[in-house]
Amino acid sequence: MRSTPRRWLLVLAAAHLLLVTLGAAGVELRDVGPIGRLLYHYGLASGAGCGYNFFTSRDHGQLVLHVDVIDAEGRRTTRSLGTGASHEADLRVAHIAGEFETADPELRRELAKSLAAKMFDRHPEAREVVVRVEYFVAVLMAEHRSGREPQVTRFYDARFRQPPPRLEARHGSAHPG
Amino acid sequence: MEAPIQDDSSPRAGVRRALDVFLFAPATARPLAALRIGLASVLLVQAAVVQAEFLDWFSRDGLFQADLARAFGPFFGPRTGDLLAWLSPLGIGEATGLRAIGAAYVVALVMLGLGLFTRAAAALAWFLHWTLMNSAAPLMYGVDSYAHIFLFYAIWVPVGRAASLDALISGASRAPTAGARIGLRIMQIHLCISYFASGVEKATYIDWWNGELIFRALSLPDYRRFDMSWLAHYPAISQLACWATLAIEIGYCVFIWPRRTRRLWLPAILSLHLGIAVFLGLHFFGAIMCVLNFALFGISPEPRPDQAAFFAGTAPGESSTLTQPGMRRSKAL
Repeated sequence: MRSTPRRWLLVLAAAHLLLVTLGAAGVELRDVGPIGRLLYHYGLASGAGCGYNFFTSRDHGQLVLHVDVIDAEGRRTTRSLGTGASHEADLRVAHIAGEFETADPELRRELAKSLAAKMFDRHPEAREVVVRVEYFVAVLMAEHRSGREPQVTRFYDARFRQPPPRLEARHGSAHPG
Repeated sequence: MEAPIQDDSSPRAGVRRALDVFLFAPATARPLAALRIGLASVLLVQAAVVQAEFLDWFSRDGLFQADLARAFGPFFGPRTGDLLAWLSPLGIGEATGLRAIGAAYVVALVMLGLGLFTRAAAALAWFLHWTLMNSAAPLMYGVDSYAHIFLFYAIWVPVGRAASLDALISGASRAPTAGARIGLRIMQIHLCISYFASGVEKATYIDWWNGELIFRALSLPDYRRFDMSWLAHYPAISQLACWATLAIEIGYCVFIWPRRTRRLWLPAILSLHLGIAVFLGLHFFGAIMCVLNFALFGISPEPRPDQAAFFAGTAPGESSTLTQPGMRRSKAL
């Protein structure tokens, strides 16, 4: 304030914190012309555009992702998408389920296909992989006291079959044409 | 030639002076150093914990195969695919390239923690962290947002001015600076805005008032760590926990500043995050929030009396420039 650099520093700091406030308030700058787009990009780069609405879902439920691996004998085993090496990794992988809610049907299918492909890769014994997304609805405290259990309903599922081994793989050499 | 000091006792001048002291009174970089070391440490432990999943999360034959990852998250920002495309002319394949990116991220964090080439390390850590966030957006959550925000600040704020190899090697003055104060203030205000927004948003939901939200959160599959169903028989506990969360978060932006109320608010917010870490299993979120709160509000940036004299080039006990009339030390922290 006593010198020009300080004044500029204050202006920049105030502008940055204004963006933080707008981001926290959920104001979308992306659609407010070219300057809005520029500020939106700055918000992404600096984190100034972040929202902080943690644990504020009006929804009483949560999507839960399961992947079933079915072998040649028809045995079905539910597997984790994570390696199970850490709780942190499992927690993050569990968040993928939320994408099934927001994604469009085509993207949903692509995501399920991608997860299934990973499971085929990880479990060579698998003949089929079923990607299941369930909707877990928690109960209220009063409902729990009256003996009601949480409800689980089907939200999305997709079954994928292991493609038959390719000719070149079976013959051990490339087969042109 | 300096302008003569005029005795301006108008309210406006008083406000300007108070603002000047609040934002620019010279401060030590101790809180900034704690932030730097704490943030780097939490992110390093996090990297160690999830390193087994690295290729599964970021490679083209991982969980998000081919270009599927591009369908999620913001369209703006770097992605691992972009970096790999830059590396491919060097004959570096995907797996090797991803390992190199991961290794560079870890090296940047180690350098940041040690305070070696601090700004460059912060810039690299921020860029690679942002790249990883964008490249597997469905796997990210609150801890990544806060890490991204404060890695960005670490580039601009003098976080390497204390307890760092840079300071040791260069032998630079450890004198309090206005830069440390303004940097600290911006980060403190950012944290206050985030808590206020989070608290106000929560307060608009009836479930945060009747206690249902905490009971529900503790029973959801992603967060269920213990059987807390007994809470249903004591709804007042859940309700009190919800009210306390609202009070702590909304009140944070006011009560964290005065020294007297900070003694209550800081332990309260740390307890809140420890509770979230233990009961909801959000360990890294809890850890990073504790680091931020402790560094920004738990460590005084004020020079100790003996240091004040030392920095000012006078013997302890003598008057120093830091205690000259008209240059009051900030009372906010």
